[in-house]
Amino acid sequence: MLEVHGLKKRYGRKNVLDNVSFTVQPNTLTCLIGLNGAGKSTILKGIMGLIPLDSGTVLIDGTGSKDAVAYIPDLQTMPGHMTVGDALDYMNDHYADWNGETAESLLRTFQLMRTDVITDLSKGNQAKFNLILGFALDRPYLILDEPLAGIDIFTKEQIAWIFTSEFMEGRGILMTTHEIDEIEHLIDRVIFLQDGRVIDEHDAEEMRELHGKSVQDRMREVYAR
Amino acid sequence: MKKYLLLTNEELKRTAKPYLIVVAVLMLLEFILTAAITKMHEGKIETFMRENGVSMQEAIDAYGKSSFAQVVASGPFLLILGAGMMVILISAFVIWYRDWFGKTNYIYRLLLLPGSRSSIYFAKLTTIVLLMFGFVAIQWLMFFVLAPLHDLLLPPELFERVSIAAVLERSGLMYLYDFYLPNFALIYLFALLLIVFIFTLVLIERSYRKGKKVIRIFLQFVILGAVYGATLLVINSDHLFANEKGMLFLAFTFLYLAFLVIIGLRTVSKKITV
Repeated sequence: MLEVHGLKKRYGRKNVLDNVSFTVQPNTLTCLIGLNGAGKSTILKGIMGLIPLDSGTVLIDGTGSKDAVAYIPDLQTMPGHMTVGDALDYMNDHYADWNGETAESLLRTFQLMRTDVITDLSKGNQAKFNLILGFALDRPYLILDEPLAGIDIFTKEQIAWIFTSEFMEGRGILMTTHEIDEIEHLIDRVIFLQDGRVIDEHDAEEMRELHGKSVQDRMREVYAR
Repeated sequence: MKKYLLLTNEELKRTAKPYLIVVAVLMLLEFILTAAITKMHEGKIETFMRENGVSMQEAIDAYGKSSFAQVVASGPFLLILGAGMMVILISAFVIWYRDWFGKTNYIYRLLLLPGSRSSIYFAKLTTIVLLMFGFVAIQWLMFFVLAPLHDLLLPPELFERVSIAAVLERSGLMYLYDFYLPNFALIYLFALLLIVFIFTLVLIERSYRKGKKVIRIFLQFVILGAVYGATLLVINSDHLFANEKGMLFLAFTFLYLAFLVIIGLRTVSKKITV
């Protein structure tokens, strides 16, 4: 289980994260939802140690090590001069848990070539490439920051497919997104954020069955208040 | 260790192309400058002979023989060397900032890599040090190419052949190529200190970004730098033997260097922000 306890972060006088706590269970897709500036990306960066937090703890299966989590940001993290093949070799060199077979399989699925230069990839292909870098790490938890932002509907569908594929099996996923439509049916748990605080938290299935509300319905209720 | 070697290799690959272009341009400028200064000297001698109807010997008596040492000691040549050194120092900024502001956000990948983040710091430091020694070595080789070129461009009676050691001595560059180990260590320890100082400034700026905290930390470093400088001045007084001064210079420089490296490593590990 990925546990987040009491995360706090201030930029100057502004509380960006205010005592944020939640958990992500294995084999579930948890979605962090909030308006722009709610603190979603800051939480993900804080979990991965990409920004220093003022206080709070992050435990992954009871330890503080981040080696069980793969992070997929919404921007390109490999040097621009590299080809896709160079980048996969780079990952293989640096990560003991890199799964070359998964990477090659996803490369074929997404129709990317090893010879493609990373900075020449379209936005959609860059998003797919980022997913490969994350999903090909044999890690039980995946954190994705806006994987569907700014890409066309067909690419969104291809990307949404990965969450129903065998590459998802057994993994706990924490994701931020504004594009609820494409993945609504896949979400297991939803956490609503506002001004750096968790303001609501639901089991998506329960919300649908007991209250007859979709995640989007609940989202409108929460943010239209 | 593996991570450090892989990252150093990657940094060198990313730096090689722009570095080689800059070095090639500087070397080309040195070629052109050597030829121009040499030919200008010859031109002066010829003009003097023609205008005054004197012999070559009389013209040489008036203007002197040309030597490669004069070429190197000339302002423009030293300016090119200075530009090379400046490029190395600017590289110490660029090697970090390009990971935030380049075509991609490579800093994310670097900070996410498994293992200690100190490898990132030392890989970048090794790269800059290799660039520095590379430039110094290429420049050394250039002296052996340009000196015969200078002599080749003039009739034998117009130039004075000098050794490379004399070239370095007359141009003040002997400090860069001092092969007496303590002096060599001291000069390049200073250079390393400068690079590490730049690293520390960049890392603090990248961690705290703006505001009073950055200014406060910068001021602390300036004060510490002033204390370090004052210590060196005190050591340089007349009360100590030369070898004692050398050892104390080395010891204090090493201490200040270690302090800056520790601050840099702590910043990369705990404070850096993507």
